[in-house]
Amino acid sequence: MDENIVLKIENLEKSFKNFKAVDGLNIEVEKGEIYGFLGPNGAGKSTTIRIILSLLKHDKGNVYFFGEKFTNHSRELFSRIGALVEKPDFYLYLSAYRNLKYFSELYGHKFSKNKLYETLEMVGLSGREDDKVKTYSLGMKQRLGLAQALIHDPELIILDEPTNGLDPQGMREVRNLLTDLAVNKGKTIFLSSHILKEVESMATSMAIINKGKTIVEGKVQELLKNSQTHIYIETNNLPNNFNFENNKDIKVIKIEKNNIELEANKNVITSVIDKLRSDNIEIYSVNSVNSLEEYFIQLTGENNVS
Amino acid sequence: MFLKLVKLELFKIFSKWRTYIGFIAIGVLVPIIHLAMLAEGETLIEVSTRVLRSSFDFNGELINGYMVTRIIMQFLFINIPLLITLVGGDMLAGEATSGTYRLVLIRPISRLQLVIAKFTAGSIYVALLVIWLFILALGLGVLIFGTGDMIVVRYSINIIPEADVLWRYGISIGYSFLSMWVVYTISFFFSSFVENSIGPIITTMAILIVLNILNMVDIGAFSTIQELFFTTHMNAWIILFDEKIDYAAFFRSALILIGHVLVLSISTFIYFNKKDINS
Repeated sequence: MDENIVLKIENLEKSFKNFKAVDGLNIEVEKGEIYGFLGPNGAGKSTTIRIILSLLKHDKGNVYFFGEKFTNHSRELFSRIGALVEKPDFYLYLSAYRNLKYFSELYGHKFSKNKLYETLEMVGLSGREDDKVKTYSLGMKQRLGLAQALIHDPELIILDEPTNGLDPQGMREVRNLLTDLAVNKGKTIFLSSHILKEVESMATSMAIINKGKTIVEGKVQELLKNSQTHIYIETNNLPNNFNFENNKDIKVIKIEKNNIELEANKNVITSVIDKLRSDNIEIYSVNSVNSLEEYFIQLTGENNVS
Repeated sequence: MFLKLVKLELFKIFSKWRTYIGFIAIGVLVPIIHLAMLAEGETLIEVSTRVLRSSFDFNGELINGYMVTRIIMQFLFINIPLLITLVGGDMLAGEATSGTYRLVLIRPISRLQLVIAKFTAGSIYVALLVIWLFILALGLGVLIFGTGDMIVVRYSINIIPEADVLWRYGISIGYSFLSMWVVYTISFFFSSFVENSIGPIITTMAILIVLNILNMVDIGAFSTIQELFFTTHMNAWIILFDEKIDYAAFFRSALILIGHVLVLSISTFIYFNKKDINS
């Protein structure tokens, strides 16, 4: 198997009684990527992550890490993986430092005091390291969650909603940290998030899943290229009967007094402008938005946006 | 790695205040019983030997540290199981409640290693609690009441020479641990099924109470079933203080307790190894 594929999920299936949570899921994550794992609530993201990390037993399929099939006898592979699954929960009666020390020692060797404090500083917890976790806010626990995922310098980092509970400044810091880990340190990051802008700004590849199945997988930019674009045009007063009839490539979202909103491929913008100019309409601005959110809605249905 | 895991589990056990409830309770109760024995011990002995006094002459000091220790053990062995369930019931369920399995089980350790390490660490706690009880009961007892031959009033009066007392206590420490270990194993077993430690604690206590009540039912046909209850055998250490020890009965009781520990602990290991972690 290609060793450049850090994580491969093959025909994964998992049912809870009569409910199929994961239904033949396939995913490939390449080395050095920030891989966005998207899907509406209940799509099977967390279940998939729990299966990958062996918290849940799967019914069918395989998981491969670094080209090696994962079984209960290959748990050593976990020393190359750092993860944070769902909300960050710790031993509330211990300090952040003691929690980090405890989780780091589960790797079988001792980490120096300096390394522990450096990691806590890296995630922005310096000054509060010795406070008991029960005094921490959700954002601080989230930072500690990142620290325990990064303490052993893993090659693959699996994160489930890593910016949940952080303030805007904290979100930016975490995004910068993750981007730095991928770009400058060659780490592979598998990122599940509800914040589509976050995935759009960070991820190089992504998969969108729904009802336990992969709907689409690929490079973010490639996928967005094929998606429909929202075009916003600001004009002078439009004639009452103005429309784009006979143009099947354009879906009119709304036409108001001075504003037009269309959904179309980017390559129709020129013809739209031509049409407006031929009708002697003045154009003040043209904006096209090709966002992951739009793409996500197209694939999963509007009601699923979170 | 296994020893490291046990050490880490012990660290967690002793970082929780509930762990010390048992030690504190014993630390308070034992001296109180000693003081009560100091004040009322003679009367108590007189009452318990009243029938025999009509046939025998009792001369000299009957109460000594050895005798008091045995009385304390009998008193406290009814309550110590309740203290043990506080820790045993929390061993696996507590981790589920706090949601920390999500962080522990994503490390290069197997579930089997973890659950056996937890079981071992909890067993060490049980052993320490039993040893603490003995040290306090025997140490304070000897300090306050001194030593000498040990008088045991059971079906008859046994007089155990001083030289024979300590080895009997040595074995009874081991047996007491075995009794408490069964209680711990039951609470540990129930702890693997749920995500809240209250359930296993209450269930284990309920089982203890129900079986103790059933033990009191004195119907001939029922005695075969009673023989299989662990509660029937928890106090078999008393046999060690008979003049002539019934080793067959002692070892049969010990084997029944060991059987309970093996069946319940192995069942827990198998179940925990297969279960889905949803917390």
